[in-house]
Amino acid sequence: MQVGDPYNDTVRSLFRAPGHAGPCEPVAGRVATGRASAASDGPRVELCADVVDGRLGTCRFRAWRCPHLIAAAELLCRLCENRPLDDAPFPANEVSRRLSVPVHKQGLVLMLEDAYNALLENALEATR
Amino acid sequence: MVYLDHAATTPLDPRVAAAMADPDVLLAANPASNHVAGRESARIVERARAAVAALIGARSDEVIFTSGATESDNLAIQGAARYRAHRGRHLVTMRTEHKAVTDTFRALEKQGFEVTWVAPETDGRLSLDALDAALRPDTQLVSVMHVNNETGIIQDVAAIGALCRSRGILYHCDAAQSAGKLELDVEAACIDLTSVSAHKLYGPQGVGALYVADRAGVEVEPLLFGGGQEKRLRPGTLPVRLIAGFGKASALAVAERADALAHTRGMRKRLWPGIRDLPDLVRNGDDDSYPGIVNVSAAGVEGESLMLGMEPVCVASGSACNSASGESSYVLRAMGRSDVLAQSAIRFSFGRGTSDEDIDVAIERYRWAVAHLRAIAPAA
Repeated sequence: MQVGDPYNDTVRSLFRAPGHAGPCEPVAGRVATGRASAASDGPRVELCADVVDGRLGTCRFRAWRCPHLIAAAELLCRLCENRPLDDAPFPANEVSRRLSVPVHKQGLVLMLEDAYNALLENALEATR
Repeated sequence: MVYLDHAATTPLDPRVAAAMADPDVLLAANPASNHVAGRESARIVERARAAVAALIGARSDEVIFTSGATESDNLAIQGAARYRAHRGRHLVTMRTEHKAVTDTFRALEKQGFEVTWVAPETDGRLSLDALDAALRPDTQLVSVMHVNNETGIIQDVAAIGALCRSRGILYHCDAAQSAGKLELDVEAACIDLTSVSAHKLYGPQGVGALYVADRAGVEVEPLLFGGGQEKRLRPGTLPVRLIAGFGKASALAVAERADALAHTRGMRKRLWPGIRDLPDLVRNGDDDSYPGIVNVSAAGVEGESLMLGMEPVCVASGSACNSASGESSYVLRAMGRSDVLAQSAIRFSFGRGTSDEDIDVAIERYRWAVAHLRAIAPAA
């Protein structure tokens, strides 16, 4: 049985006003993308970012599933903008900690990490 | 907060709370005790039993108090199946029944009973031809609910009862969602066993009842042992305060049924036109469903997110994310809805206290949440 509120204030705030949700509109440089999904009808997430001077520029996402995934994608975009490509590891601990992601939803964080790693790979290819 | 989850549970009616706080009820001596206080408690219990019986057109001596509809379902289904097992071990139910019924049948399957699971039509209703085809000479019990808890779909219980009676098969009906809300006459409908619950009709949580028809061949084996209470079918000291509340809630439900039904019709009539123009919306039910429940799916959104987006409106969802089983609504999938549509389902359920303003807030929040989530979602 679920006890208490499953969403903390950060999840609620990011879910209600995900400023980074939407299609990618490159400002400069090239656009890198990454996506991941659990199954054909399962949760899915798409990330995209401008790649400018070896850094991630403006990040955008689209996501389908529960509030934690939407909030995590929004938080990831906020954390990763302007990071250098060679020093932009997926902030798994920070995402899980700040969103208090419940154990049974940690798989969504892993899926987001898959999409992010695909984005980074795509971004690195774009700079070669 | 706007509470539109009355199908899950209803608030305790203040008049019921007052009845439960009556000094005689507060004493709540053991009704089995042979002294003045015990006899007064027994009188309170019997008055309540009469009121609960009136709810479904039964006689008082056909009503057994339980802890709720889940226990009633278990006692009826397991008890009847075991009692009649020497005659045959085939049972029939629908895929869209409440978990209290489906899980009980699954438990019986593990004990060697054979269960035929009849699928509904795409409108959620049971085809009598499909039921007829499922019946066999060794069928002992059919269980089909009156009003579906997710969709509000009403089954033709009288036709089901008549068919079962003509074949000498017991008919159990889970009436947790309909008792006190719709007319139900168990005798006229040829129903042998009926489960009801107090907290679905503004009574206290933790008490319910099972109707066992006083008719030859209608017998159930007890699941619990330890005393002779409730005709030896359900032992244990009766919870007098809860039962008194159940009785009061039942009396109020019968007295106010017509007005309550008209009120919920009005709420549905206000809600549905307020959202029906949204693109790719599927209604899981229709105008012939119980009007206190409106269930809709919105393609491209997910139920748990929809629920959060709708706050402070309290509704239920068919989402897998917040279900104990990790699955989307099996009821909607049995009706032919895709998993994605089942995931997006939201159930609005109205009650006595629901106001026009509540519905207007729900409409506004639902429209916002659907638009918000569709804007975020990637292409399928």
